[in-house]
Amino acid sequence: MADKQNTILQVQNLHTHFFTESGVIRALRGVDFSVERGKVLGVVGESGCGKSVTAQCIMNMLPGSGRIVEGKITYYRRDSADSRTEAIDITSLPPRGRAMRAIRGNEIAMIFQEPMTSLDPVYTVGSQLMEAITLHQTVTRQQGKEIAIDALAKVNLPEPARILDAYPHQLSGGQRQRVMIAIALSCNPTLLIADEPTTALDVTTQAQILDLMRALQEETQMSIIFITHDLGVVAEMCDDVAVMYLGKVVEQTDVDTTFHNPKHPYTRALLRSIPRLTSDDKSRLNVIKGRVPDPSVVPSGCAFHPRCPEMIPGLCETHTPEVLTLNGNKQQVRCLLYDDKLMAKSSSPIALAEAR
Amino acid sequence: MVAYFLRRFLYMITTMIFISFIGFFIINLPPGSFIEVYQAQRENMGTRTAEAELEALKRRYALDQPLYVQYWKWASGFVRGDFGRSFQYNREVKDLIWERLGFTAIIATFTLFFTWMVAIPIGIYAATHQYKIGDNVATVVGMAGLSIPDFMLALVLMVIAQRVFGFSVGGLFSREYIDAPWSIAKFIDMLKHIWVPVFVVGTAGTAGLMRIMRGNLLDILNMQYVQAARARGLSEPLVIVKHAVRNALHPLIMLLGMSLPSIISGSLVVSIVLGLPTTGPLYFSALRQQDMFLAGTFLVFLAGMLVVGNFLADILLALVDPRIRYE
Repeated sequence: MADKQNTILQVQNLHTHFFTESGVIRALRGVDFSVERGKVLGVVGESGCGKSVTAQCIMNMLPGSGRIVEGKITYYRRDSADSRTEAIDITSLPPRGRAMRAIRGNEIAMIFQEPMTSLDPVYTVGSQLMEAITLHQTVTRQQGKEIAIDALAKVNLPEPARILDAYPHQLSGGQRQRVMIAIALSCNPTLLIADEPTTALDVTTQAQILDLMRALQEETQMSIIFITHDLGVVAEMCDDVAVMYLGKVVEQTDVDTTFHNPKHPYTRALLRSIPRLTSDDKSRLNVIKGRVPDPSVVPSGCAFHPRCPEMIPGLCETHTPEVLTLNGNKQQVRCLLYDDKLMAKSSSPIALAEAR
Repeated sequence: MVAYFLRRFLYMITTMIFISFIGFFIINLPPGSFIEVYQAQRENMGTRTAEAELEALKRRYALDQPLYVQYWKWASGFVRGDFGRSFQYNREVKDLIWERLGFTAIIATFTLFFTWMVAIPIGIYAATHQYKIGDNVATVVGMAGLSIPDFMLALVLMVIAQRVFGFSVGGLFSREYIDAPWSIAKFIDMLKHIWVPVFVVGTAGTAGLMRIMRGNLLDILNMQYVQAARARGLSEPLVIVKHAVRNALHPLIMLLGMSLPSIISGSLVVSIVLGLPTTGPLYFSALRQQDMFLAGTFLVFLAGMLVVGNFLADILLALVDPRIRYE
């Protein structure tokens, strides 16, 4: 969907496994998506679908037993001087190597879900902020301090000079998340990964943080990968949406198409399960039946088939859907319903079921 | 911070006063006054004690006066450095214990250093290489160190030193230096002997401390702030040392405070087996012989060390962790 000129990050066929004592857990089973320069991509899905693991892969900092076994993550670095782009294969860089560390926190930054625990309790806010600044920029202590105060002011923290000397436990959750954003943005990254940054905050603070992120995105024109399970947040924040289910992206398209013309039954089911104020009667909230299966026992065929309302017996549990491009290159879906060749073989789902 | 310090200090003083109550109560538990015990002991040895001496003792410890006066005499003696008299040795307690306390403190301090210097790095290595070969080896060796009894290890070491290297490792000095005045040669001689108790007592402690360090660090390594530090692009050693280890040291500082009494109590069994001039054997015999003032002094000293250790640990914790400072 995106031409290479405008792509900042491309994830292709990413398989990540966790080798645990109780067996191999296939957390990612072929994730494909791309992020456009200056755009916000929302990554949506239920808990356990691999959103956070994808983020860890992009940062190249998987925890101990995790390995990328297949696939490629390409980061397109643009030289601001001659606007040439250079493709960097993140998956080929050693996780602890110098090249990766020069990208991490500098060009690709990340903020986390739990602001209460993402700052080290024994160091001041300033010390952790300066840590990032002095690591990636060659500045004197005084300059570093000015950049730090500037960064805190940018995220609308009052009295940034005072916050600089504060310890994390002296700040509220919202303030801490602002500090995390300040740290992430202090080195002017081109791509920010936000892993459910507002999930742990109360609704008012959540709205403020989202507004702030939106404003900062417009100002800096960085790209954001916004991981969330909240479709309301997606509608507010994102330009594009990738919907994940059990370690695969099942649909990727722009935000309007996601909400108005979703193709994949899972996306549709997710949208149906949003509570609406307009439904005046006492109708029950739509839910997706069943639960996300354990990633160690992935269903055969299309992994969503046991829960899919449009499941075609005899087809969905045997055929693994490939990525299909619909809607004039705008929409990518992994669902057999749109596989014309396969569907033509069986003129209708019912006929196919009867033929069996 | 000053308020915190003062409050902790007050707690410490209060606890010490309570401990002195209990200590006094315990040394008065054996039936009969100690004068009678003393008299009986002397009679057993065939000497009669002069009435005048008994009277002097009675006056010194205010035995003819109510209990609280006796307590006051005893407790205020501690402040003046007068711990009473050992009837077993017929000497002042303070003359008996100082030298032994010194040796015990030297051995214990060496042991403490040995334990920490060995255990902390191995613990860090084991945690950062969980379930790898190094971690498994450290676990097995640690478990062995924990489960082999001290005295057993001491005996084995003595035999090996004697048979293989041909020198005696019992005691703290070679014979010619025992009564010699302190000199560099005597100090070197001490170093030649001290490694055995340090190694023996330290092994068990090292194993335990290593496991604690490993466990703590594993917990901390899963914390989001460690991930966040990595995400900032910090190098792995810096992430581990600056962010993970500093937070993982927390419970160990508490443990350090608790282990302070061992500086004067020493390891009893090891001291007996190796024939070390430490306080452990003396304390043990004082308890057996109902040598009340000697036993009482040890009791109060041990409890006092625990309290002081906790006080120091509190101060250290406040320095390490800002959350405690502002409580």
